[in-house]
Amino acid sequence: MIDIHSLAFSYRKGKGTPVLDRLDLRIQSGHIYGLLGPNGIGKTTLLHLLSGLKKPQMGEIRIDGNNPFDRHPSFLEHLAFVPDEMPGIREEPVDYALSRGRFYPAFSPDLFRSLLSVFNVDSAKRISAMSYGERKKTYIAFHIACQNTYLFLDEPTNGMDLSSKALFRKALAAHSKEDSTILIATHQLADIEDIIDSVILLDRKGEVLCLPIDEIGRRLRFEYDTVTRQDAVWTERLPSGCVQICPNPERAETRCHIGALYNAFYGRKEQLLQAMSKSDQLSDK
Amino acid sequence: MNPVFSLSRFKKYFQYDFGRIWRRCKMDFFLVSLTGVVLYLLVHLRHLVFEGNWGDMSYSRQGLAYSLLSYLTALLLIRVYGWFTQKSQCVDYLLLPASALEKTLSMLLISIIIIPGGVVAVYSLLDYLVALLDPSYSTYWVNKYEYLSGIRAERTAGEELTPSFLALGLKSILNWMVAGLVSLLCALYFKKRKTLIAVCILFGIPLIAIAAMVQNGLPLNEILQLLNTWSKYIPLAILPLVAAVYYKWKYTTV
Repeated sequence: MIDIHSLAFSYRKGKGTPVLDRLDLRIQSGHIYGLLGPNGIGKTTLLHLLSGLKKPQMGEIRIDGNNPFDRHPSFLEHLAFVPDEMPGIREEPVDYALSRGRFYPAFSPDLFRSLLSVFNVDSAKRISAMSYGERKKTYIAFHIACQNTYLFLDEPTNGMDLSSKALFRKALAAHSKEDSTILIATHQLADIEDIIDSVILLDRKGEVLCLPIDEIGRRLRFEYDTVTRQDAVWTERLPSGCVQICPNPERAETRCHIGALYNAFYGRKEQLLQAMSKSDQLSDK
Repeated sequence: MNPVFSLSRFKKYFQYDFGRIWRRCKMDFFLVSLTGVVLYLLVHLRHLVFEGNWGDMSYSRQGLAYSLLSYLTALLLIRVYGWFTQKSQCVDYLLLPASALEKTLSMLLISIIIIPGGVVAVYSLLDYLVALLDPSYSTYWVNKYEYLSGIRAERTAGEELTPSFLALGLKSILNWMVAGLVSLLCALYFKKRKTLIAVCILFGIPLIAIAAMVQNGLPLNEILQLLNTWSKYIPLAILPLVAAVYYKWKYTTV
């Protein structure tokens, strides 16, 4: 489990607006989270902090009791971070994976090879000679094959073609461990919509929405028709009609529309959060 | 497993680190090792072209080649570890499951023992091969031994004793280490112009010191004596330089 308490981080210490400000968050094990938010909200920064690549300026992060910035080997061997920018190593993928995989107890060379062929990556080509998309697929394949407990992916589908994106979703869903916690930071909502089971929406003031998607579908009612509802806190036109987000006091299960939820959170956050708590209060009564 | 140091983990990390460096930099390593042969060829080529005869590779020229070799070896470390300031490469290494101490030790072992040792070994082997092919040429080590023995033989009772070969060898190794560490730190701490900065530190500081002494009217023998005295303190820099390498591994952020 990941516990984040009063986390603050700024690129210009003491000056300007902090990227993350008094962030409190609990990330449960065994889920695939979509880490969403507009540009500059701190998604990559949060992944860096969780991977121990940055030091929190305030507050603390605990991952299964570990402080990531200590970078203890026993912690690192269960963690994988795939950044948006990857090194162009002058090695063939299998050589890279075999030499590096020895550090990860659950690494499976066979799984890596099969993922490379699924992703259509030429294993005879050096990583440095690969295109951005191919390189990304190689690193993702390696980290999936490592079977780590924590997998953090920053914009994983950037540079991938449409079929690769589908293969990525399939591979992640099929080969991630039951107890793995996967965090995917992205702007490409459509690429991950089918595989995530929870969302994290970040906000500059430290307010955050972190819930399983089915729970959101119970706390809010997502209506997919053209009838205008008085209690709707957000209405969005879709190519096929429209979606409205309303309070859900009966807690009846509805299908969450993540795109609409995202827009509502950043467009009418107060009303959205009020609707969620209203649903809770009414259902408690 | 001990989070600070484990021998098996260190071995695994060292093999990985060395393997990756070897694959990437072996050509640079051999090119630097060729310094002596290149200088030998240049000297003889110049003689053949301008004087029409086979020249003489004197001991002083061999000494120059050896000094050049030591500086080039130090600068080679910038090529070997210069990736540290590239974000993507640095992330790749920082997240490898090994402790900061293990990563530091591996880096030090490679950069101040294996690489200089390997370069000197290849240089000496090539020097020996040249001596086999050219009967008029004797190797740098033989010349150095004869030169130092000559100085010893000329000394008379009452004069200060010349340091032993062992002490001279140790001093030379420590100076190589300091030069290597200075270069290594430039590779780790500076994002741009690493080589230029390292050259400025390695050559600039002694040059400024000599220029200042000449400006103050010190005679040449006193300048040499002062430089000799100061050089005894150079090895003292090893510990803080090593600590700076460890600090970088432990606290680097991206």
